[in-house]
Amino acid sequence: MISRFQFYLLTINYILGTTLFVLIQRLVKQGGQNAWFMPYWAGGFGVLVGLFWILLFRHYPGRSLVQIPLDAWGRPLGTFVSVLYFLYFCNLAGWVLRNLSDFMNGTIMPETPKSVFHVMFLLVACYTVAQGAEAVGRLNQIITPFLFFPFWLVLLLATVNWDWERLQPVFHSDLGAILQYHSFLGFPYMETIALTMLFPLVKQGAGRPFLLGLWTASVSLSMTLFMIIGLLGVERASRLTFPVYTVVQEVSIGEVIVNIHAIISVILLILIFIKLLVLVYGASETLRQVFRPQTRWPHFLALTILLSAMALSIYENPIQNGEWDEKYTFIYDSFFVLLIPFLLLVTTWIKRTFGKRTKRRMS
Amino acid sequence: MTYRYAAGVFILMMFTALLTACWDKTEMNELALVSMVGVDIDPDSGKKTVYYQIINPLSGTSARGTPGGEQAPVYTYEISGSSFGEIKSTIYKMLPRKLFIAHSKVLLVSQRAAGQGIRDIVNFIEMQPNGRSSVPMLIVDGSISQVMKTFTPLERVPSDAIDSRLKLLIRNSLLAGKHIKVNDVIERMEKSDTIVLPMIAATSENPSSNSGETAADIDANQNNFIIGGGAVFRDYRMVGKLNDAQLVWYHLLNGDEGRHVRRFQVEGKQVSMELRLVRMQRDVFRQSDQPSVRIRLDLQLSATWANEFVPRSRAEVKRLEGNLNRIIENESLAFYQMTRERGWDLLRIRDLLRKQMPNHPDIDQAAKNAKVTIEVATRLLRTGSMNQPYEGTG
Repeated sequence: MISRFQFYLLTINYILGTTLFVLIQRLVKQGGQNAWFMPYWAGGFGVLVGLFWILLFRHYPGRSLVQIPLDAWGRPLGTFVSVLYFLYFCNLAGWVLRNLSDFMNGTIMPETPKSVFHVMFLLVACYTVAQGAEAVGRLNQIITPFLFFPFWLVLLLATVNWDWERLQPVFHSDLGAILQYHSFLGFPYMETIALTMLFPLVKQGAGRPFLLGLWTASVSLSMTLFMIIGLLGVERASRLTFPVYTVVQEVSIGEVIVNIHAIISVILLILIFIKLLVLVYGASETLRQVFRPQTRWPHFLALTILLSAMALSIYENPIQNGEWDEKYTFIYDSFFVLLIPFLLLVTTWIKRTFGKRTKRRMS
Repeated sequence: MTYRYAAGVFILMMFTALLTACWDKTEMNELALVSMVGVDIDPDSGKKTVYYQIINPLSGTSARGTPGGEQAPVYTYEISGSSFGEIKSTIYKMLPRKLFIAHSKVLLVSQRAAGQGIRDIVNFIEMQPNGRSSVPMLIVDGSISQVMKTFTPLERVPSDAIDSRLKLLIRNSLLAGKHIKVNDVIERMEKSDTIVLPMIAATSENPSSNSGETAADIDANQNNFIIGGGAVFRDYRMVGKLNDAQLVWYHLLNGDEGRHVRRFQVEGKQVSMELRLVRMQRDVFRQSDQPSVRIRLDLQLSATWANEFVPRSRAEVKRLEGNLNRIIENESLAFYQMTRERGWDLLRIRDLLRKQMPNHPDIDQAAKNAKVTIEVATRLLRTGSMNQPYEGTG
């Protein structure tokens, strides 16, 4: 069992995870100097989706996302849906790993093979997940202060390059463009469905910390975007591959504080690791809950092999990743995040009403 | 149990093979630390030449007295190719160490390359994974190869010399401003704005290529380069030059805060005053459908260097301030007129209008026709160690 606070922190770090790497540039490109507003409406949508899941979970107390289909639709169909979720988690985990190795190759370690990053991260992640959800929650709780304070400290140090004029004119650009960017709803907000695997394990209910975490993450995303725009300007932030990294790279205070971007790399790596942890937990728990194996280590070995292969082949270059993200993320995620839960909810309602009626008739 | 323990240790040791240092390890003594980069493009053939000035790790105090005399503090490698990317590979025909540009301090661009356009150069720098675009960019007046192969006295590494001179100029004069870095260039150019970059020129035709000789020569002007003048850029292309007098007004009207000493002619008397910008305010308002820009400068004066004349009374101070207000207003307005005639928006009126009047239909035309007024308010706040200069008995 993990505490509400641990789950709250986990939600925040899960959302920030790859977003700080991959999405900042695209958000600035879409929203211009008002990009800092985008996380609020996307976060609002995220909260609505979260409420929808909580509604579903109300009907199945103590059950996880992959156990609900088993209960609602019976063993054969339920197993099929659970396996779909398993593949979805694997897919996301592969994605996360690939984003990570792209970042490392693109910044400080250009020559290290991608698989090395993947396998190393997976080994540690599998070890942590094997220790159970408590290990995941506690690890994240311990590590969060070491992420939060250095991150904002280096961004504050970067404010030597701050210019308010970069944020002007406020709210003049096309607000429609901001609302059109639907893939931001999919990634990262709809991907939080992996966190619902932990719902039954949160003491005193997961709903409130989850929604609060969603909102906190949106606020910190918005603040990060605000700072990135004030520090780099829209022109550069919309073109650089890793604006957060560049911001810190350009900090130079006197002769001493230069080249401090290693700090931000480590922070981003750990954030990604936490997202990976949740996804690996989701995947391995799905296997455990659906197939109930005697020993677990072969599954972790298989997961490592599967995920490292997935990460290597999920896309060939960041250009493909960007195009997929813009065109298909929302639709793809909607299938798992909106459609299946909706169908589950509908069957649950139908069963309830019919169940009551038959009960009434019996008595 | 012992076996399990041993197996665990063995597995852990095997993991060390996965530690990434095997691929990306870099030893300090395998790196060529680039301190300064120079770029030249031949306008006819389009051939690109890059100069890398690489720090010699053996130079400095430790190398004194080594056989064969003192070692050069830096070595300049010159390499040509049809693109900058190509040079990355072909440099190893000459360079025995891994090129490491993350710590380079200065970027020099030849004037002919600047005239052709620096977009290629800027893009290349911004694209490199480990490059930094927060380095100052200077335009070389004359031969770039000469400047790249000049040793500087006093500050042994030329890039340090340039970097430190720029810092001193920014603080103690209005001849250089803060916005001269590559990232400033990108930001301004992408907003179709203008920027002025400092220029650098070698002082002698044939500088000595021997660092020992430079260090032994008393004449610091003999082997050196000098920073002076400004190169005006618009749309990634150098379109003109400013002289030192114009640079003062440019930097003042762009909000730079260096303490600049300048001699003014006030009521027939010469007086050297130090000016420092305290506050600049730029307001836009509409006047008969035409945007009008009012720039207000609050300047702080210091008579520390005024060895010619120091006002005696409050009334004289007021008169001096009033006269200086008028002179500075007139000269900066004249500067603005000059830039407007040449079509350079050096006061960045367009950018100002874009922010203040985002709904204006034709911002370019509005910026051209905008009525600009400059108001100056000076205040004498400091004096030197004498309240009156010695006047002699004659």
